[in-house]
Amino acid sequence: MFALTCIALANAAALRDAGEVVDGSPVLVVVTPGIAASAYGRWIAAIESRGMDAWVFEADPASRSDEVAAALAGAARSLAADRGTVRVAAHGWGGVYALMAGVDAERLALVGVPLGPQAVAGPLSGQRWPWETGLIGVMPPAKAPSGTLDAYRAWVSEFPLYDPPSAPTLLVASNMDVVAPPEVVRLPSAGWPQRTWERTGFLSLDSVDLSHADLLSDPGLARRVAKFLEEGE
Amino acid sequence: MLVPLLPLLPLLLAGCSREAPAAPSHCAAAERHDVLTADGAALALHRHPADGPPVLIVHGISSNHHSWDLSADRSLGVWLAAEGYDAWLLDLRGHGDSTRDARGHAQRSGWSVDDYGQQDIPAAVAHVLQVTGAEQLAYVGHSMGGMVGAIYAATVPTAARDLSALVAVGSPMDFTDPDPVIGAALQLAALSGPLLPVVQSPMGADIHAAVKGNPLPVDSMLYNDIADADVRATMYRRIVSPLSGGEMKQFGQLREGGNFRSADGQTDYLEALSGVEIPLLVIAGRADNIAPVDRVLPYYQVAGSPEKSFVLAGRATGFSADYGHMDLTIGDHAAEEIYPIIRDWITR
Repeated sequence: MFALTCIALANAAALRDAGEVVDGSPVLVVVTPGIAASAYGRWIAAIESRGMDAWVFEADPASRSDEVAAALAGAARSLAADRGTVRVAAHGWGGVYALMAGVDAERLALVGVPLGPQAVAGPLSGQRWPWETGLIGVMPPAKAPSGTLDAYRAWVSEFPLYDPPSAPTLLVASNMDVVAPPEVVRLPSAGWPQRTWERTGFLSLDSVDLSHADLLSDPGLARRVAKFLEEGE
Repeated sequence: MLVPLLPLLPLLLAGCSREAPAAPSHCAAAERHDVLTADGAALALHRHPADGPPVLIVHGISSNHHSWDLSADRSLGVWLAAEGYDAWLLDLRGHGDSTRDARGHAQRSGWSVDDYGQQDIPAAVAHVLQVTGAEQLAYVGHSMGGMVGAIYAATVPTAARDLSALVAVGSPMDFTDPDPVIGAALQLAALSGPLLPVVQSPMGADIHAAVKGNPLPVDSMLYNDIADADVRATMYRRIVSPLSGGEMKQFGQLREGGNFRSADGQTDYLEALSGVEIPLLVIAGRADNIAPVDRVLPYYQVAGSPEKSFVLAGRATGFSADYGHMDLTIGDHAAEEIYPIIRDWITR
């Protein structure tokens, strides 16, 4: 599904033009290191269906956590220089990298993105993710950059510093998302200048409370992300 | 239990006066004590006596003491008594066995949530301390019962002297960024509160209990870990109590968001908790859709208590289930996982 269009980056991270649209407003889709880009298919389709141009950022599997953030900042600058101000769509820990990178975005959609440490750390899984698949949901895996899986584990109790974005930001959380439950999304963002807070699930008349993985695969949420990013055009 | 019941308001309004259900058999050994408040309301206290320190246990909105005492195996009162604690379960005015005043007249309306914290709790605390001869007691409140505990702790001067511990279970204090369902319920409360002296929630609950095999969306709001349909039906039949117009009006004032406040709007009870130094335990349920974790956590964060603890009852934090609102008090794993935490805190 990816077109051949690429922007060369100084390091081995990849920034690729995805989908069919080539001349819409650029949207930087941050793929969480450790998750396959294919997991973002619905988001890309929804973004492009609104005439925006989705670009996928994937970190170099050899990168350390701080290098991922630096590469993402570089990718955003390159894309902006080539195509104009970017918008950002990120899920889970990919959103943490977007915040660490301080991407100068026109709008951001952060779905299931933790913004602070967990209220209660609890026992962590010894498997790939800090929590077992039964809690986090199934996401197609990719080779993880060295140190990033350890970083996800560390962020449960110690969170990296970042500056709250000044651009309009959509924050979506689910009560049943163990990675970014509402208490680590709504409360830390209370002072953000332009945030739109939405809780998915029963309290928003949805039929189910979504898991962390569900937040990425849910079609309705993909459309919501695209709609938010399109606003302001 | 306010929020899930409000969408059923038209159904509930079809009801008329209704007496409290008879006490279940497991309560036969409990003592009943009748208490008068300073402003003349009559309260019922249900005691599961033991020789140990006293514990006052308080229910939430549209509930009664059975929300902590549904059956012998789903009863914090029975459980604590077996552990040696002198457990006292309160029916706040207008709820459960506190529906009639000393002259036998119905207590149906004319009060706010503030009155629970500033009239009912002081009267109940004084009675328990007088009967037991103890110098202090521990307070355990579920949902609005924990909010009432905050009112008492933050605004009644004798609370610091009389409480050895404050335990708030599934008690929201932060209503900012209202969610659509909560916002709609609070809007309905704001409209209904000033007009209706009382909402007969039990009538709707009875009807819901009759369709126990066919859960409604309201069930997802209330529990996540009560497998037995008969237990769920019993919960609806036994626990749900009328809503008073005054408490609905006070909650309705939160429809635009903000922290839980007094009926006159002058006291921010969450902010007031910063001056409370009573040892505090706050428990939240991962799957609680009445009091989501992010609305409960500020209770713990803001409290000035030098000694405080926060427990998140969910699978990711090592519990058997993701606890819903009623799971915290009478769920399938409450006796095994929640009650010991409460005991350990009040014993610490």
